[in-house]
Amino acid sequence: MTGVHSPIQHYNLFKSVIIVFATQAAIVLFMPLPIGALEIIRLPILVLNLIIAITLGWRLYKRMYHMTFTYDKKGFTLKKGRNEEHGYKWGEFSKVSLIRTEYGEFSVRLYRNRDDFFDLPVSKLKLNPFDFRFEVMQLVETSRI
Amino acid sequence: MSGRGRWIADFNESFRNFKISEVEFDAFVRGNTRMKGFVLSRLFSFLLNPNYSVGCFFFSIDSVKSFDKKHLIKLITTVKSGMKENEMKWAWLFLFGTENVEKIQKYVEGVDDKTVGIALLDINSKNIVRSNSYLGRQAKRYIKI
Repeated sequence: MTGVHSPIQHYNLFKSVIIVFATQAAIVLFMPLPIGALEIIRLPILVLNLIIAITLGWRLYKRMYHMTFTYDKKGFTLKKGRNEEHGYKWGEFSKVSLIRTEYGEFSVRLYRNRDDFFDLPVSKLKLNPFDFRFEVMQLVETSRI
Repeated sequence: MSGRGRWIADFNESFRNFKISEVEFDAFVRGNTRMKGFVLSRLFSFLLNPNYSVGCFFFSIDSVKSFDKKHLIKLITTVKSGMKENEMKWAWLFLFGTENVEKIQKYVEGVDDKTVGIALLDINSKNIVRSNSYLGRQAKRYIKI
């Protein structure tokens, strides 16, 4: 019952690449270029944009969205992008539920009390939500004994 | 919840082995009668559906030795306290089992509670008995064994 999960979230990676690509495309669109020049440099600019979009998109994804989830029998840590790492002990929680978001993604919700909870985004971590819920329930129960 | 249960409410959170005081329900799902979705679904739901928090409690009567009327009353009382705790307006109690089902059928049919709908499911015969209330009738409409 230990593990490190850090899968690539393709949707967020794609979103990051598109953000960078669209920004570059907007810059090129409003750049004052001599008449006829765009025809000649269109393909090189497109290739260059794509290379930059993939490189910067990857960096943006790693900085903003990439998640690393580590857990063992005692507790877990979740890090999103370059944000602060959240670390908790299983024993801090009393109830476990499975949440489905309006986008169809699943999270395992850990309750300290009725209004104080922490969501583990299991769909984003590419874990099986149904199996992982039972695993977490067991870990929480064992830690509370 | 998938299937026809979606027409009752948007059930987005599920618990397993859900405990309220001394009673442990096999499962508990909760949600809201106001559905989430894209623009039209949201608008439709906003205009037509009440904004009620609702829940379904599932209990296997086989887990109790000789389940009788006393147990049923205790379950209903527990469901009501769970409703209060979770600020729910409506709730359904689904009882299922293979033994003692016939024994409590008439008690289930006699329950006339406006806020709790009860359905008793005989797993062997696939027979469904419901409480004599609007919610009870609704529950039977959407159950499929």
